[in-house]
Amino acid sequence: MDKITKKNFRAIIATISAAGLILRFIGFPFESVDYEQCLSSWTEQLKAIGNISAVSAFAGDYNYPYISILYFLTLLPIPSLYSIKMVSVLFDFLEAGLLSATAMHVAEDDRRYGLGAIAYALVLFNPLAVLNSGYLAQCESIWTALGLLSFYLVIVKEKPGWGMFAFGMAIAMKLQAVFILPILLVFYFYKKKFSILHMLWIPVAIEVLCLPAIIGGSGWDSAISQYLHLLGEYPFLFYYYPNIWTFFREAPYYVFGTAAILFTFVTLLLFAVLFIKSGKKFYMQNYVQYAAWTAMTCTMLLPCMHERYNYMAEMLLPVSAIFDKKLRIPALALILISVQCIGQQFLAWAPVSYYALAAGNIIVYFYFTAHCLGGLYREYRKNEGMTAC
Amino acid sequence: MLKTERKLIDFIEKHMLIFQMFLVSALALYIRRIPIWWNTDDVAAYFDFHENCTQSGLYYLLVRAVQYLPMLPVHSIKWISVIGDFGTAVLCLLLVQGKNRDNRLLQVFCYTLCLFSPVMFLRGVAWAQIDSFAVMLFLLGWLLWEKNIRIVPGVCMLLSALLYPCMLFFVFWFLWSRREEMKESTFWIGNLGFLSVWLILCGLVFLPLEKSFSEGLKNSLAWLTYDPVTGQSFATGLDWVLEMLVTLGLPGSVIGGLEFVRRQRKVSAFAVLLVHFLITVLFGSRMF
Repeated sequence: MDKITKKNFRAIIATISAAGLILRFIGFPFESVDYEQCLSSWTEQLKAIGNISAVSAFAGDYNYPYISILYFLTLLPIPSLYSIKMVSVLFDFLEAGLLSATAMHVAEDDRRYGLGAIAYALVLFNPLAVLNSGYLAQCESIWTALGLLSFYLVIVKEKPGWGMFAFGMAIAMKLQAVFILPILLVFYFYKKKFSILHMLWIPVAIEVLCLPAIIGGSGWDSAISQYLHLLGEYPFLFYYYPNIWTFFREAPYYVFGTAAILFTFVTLLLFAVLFIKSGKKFYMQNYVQYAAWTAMTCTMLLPCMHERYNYMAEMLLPVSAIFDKKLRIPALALILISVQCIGQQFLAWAPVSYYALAAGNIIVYFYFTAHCLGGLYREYRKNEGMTAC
Repeated sequence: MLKTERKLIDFIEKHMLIFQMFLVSALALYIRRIPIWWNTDDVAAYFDFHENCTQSGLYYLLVRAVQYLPMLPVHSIKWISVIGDFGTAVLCLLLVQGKNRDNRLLQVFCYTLCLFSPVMFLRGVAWAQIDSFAVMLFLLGWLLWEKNIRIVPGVCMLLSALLYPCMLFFVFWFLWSRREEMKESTFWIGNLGFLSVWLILCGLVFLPLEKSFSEGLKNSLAWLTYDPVTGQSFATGLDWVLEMLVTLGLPGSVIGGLEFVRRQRKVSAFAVLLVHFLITVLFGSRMF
C-alpha cells in the first residue's frame, strides 16, 4: 500500500474497471426471470406507446423514475437486455468510486491510494454486484449508488443540501434507499452542523425525477401515490430474504407487521442514543461501519424483505472490513449467504434451506451488533469513568 | 443550523434518556394493543381446566375473577400480562440501578430491552400467558430483599410461585445465591418453610374451584409432567426438554439477562442475543 502513488493508482483503477466490466459483460446474454416476465414486457409496452405518455401510463410495480429510464432506453438502437444492464453497470462504477473516495478519506498520507484501490476492487468484484447488474438486470446498484452519494456528500464532504437532493433521488428510484437515512439522521443530530430544512430538497429531487411522468400526464402527486400503492402490496413477514422472519413466516402480517417495524425503530433508536452518549471521537471508518450496521438492521428486522434488499450493507460491510479485521469473516459469510440466496432463486443453483441461510445471517448480524453496540457502550463507560461491577 | 433548532436538539440531548423512556413506553403500549384480538389455535386449552391441566389454581381463580370485568376474559388476561410486562421492565430498571447507580444509560436500556423483548411480547399479549406478572412479583421480592426487608419479599415470591409454579426453581436459586447472607440453619429452615407453605397454599387454592386439596397438590407439579395443551404425559424426552424451555423461557430470559447486566458475567452480548433469539424461535414454533 505504501508503494502506490497517484500515477499507479490511476492505472490500478483502470485495470480493476476493465476487469469488472469484463466480468459483467460475460453475464450480459443471460436473461433472468425478472427480465423475461417483467422488464422485457414493460419495455415492449413503453415502446408500443412510443412517446412520453408511456411513462405515466405504466401500471407495474416500479416507481416512475426507473420507468423513465426504461422509456429513454427504448429510444436507443440497442437490445433492451443490454441497455438495461448497462445502466446498472454504470451505477456499479459510481458506487465503487464513492466507496473508494470514502475509504481514501480515512488516511491523509499515501496509504490512501492503497485503501482507495482496495475499496474500489471490493465493490466492483463483489459477486453480488456482478450478478445483480451483469446477470439479473436488476437496479439495486442505482438506488444504492445514489444512497451512497448522499452518504458521501452529507458525511464525508459535509454538503447537506446536495446530499439530501441525492437522497431524494435515491428514494425516488426505490424506497429501500431509506436504509441510509438512519446514519444521516444520527450524523445530523450528533454534529449539529446543518439544518433539518435541508431535507426539503428530498421532495424536490423526487419531483424532478418524476418530471417525465408529470410531462407524460401524471399528477404532481404521482410519486407519493405510487409509493402508497406499492407499500401494502406484499403483506408478508417473510419475503425470501433470510432474515429473522424466516422463522416466523406463518405469523400473520396484519398482527405482527407493525410490531416488526417498531422493533426495528427501537433498535435504531438504541444505537442512536449510544452513539451520541458514548462520547467517542468518530472517524470515517466508523461511519462506514455504522452505515453498514444500520442498513443491515433494516433488512434483518423489517418485514417483507426481498433477497436483494440487503445490497447496500453487502457493499458497505466488506469496505468496512478493510479497517476492522474482526469484520472480515462476517463480511465474507454475508456475501456467501447472499450469493447462495440469489443463486438458488434466480440461477437454478442447488437450494439450501432458508432456515440455514437465515441462521447464518442471524449469526453474522448478532456478531456485528455486539461488535458495534458493545464497542460504543465500552467507550461510554470509559468516558464516564465507570468500571464493570 | 437555525438557533431554535440547535436549542431544541440540545434540549433533547440533555434529556435524551427521559425522552427515550417515554417514547419506548408509548410504543410498547401501542404494539401490545394490536395482538389483543388475535389468538393462537391452542389458547382455549390454557383456560378450560381440563384433566392434568398445568396452570395453577391461583391462575384459574384469576380467570374466574376477570369474568366480571366488562371485556372478554382472554383480553383481560392479556392486559394483565401487559401490566406484568411494564412492571417487570420498571423493576429491572430499579434492580440494575441498585448495582449501577450512576449508569443511567444502562438502566434505561434495560427498561427498553425488557419492554421490547420479543420473548416478553410473544409470551404475554400474543399468547395470553401471564408469566411476566409472576416474574414481576418475583422481581419485586428481589428488590425488597436488597432493601433488607424480609417478610414482604417472601410473600411476593410466594405469590409468584403460586401463580406460575415453575417460579419455585427461581426462588430456590435466589435463596441459594444469598445463602451467605444468613446462617446455615436459617437458610435450610427458610427453604423448607417456604416449600411447605407453598404446597399447602397450592392445595387450599383449589378448594374454591370445587376441587380437592390433593388435586391442588398434584397440580402444583403437573407442569413438570404433562403437556399443557393435551394434558398427556410427554411422549419423548425431547418433548419434555422443549416444553421446559417454553415454560422457563420468559423468567429465564429476564432473570438471566438481569444477572448478566448486574454482575457483568463473562458471557458475551452475542451469546445473550443468540439465546434470547432461540427462545423466541421456540415460542414462534408453538404459536404459528
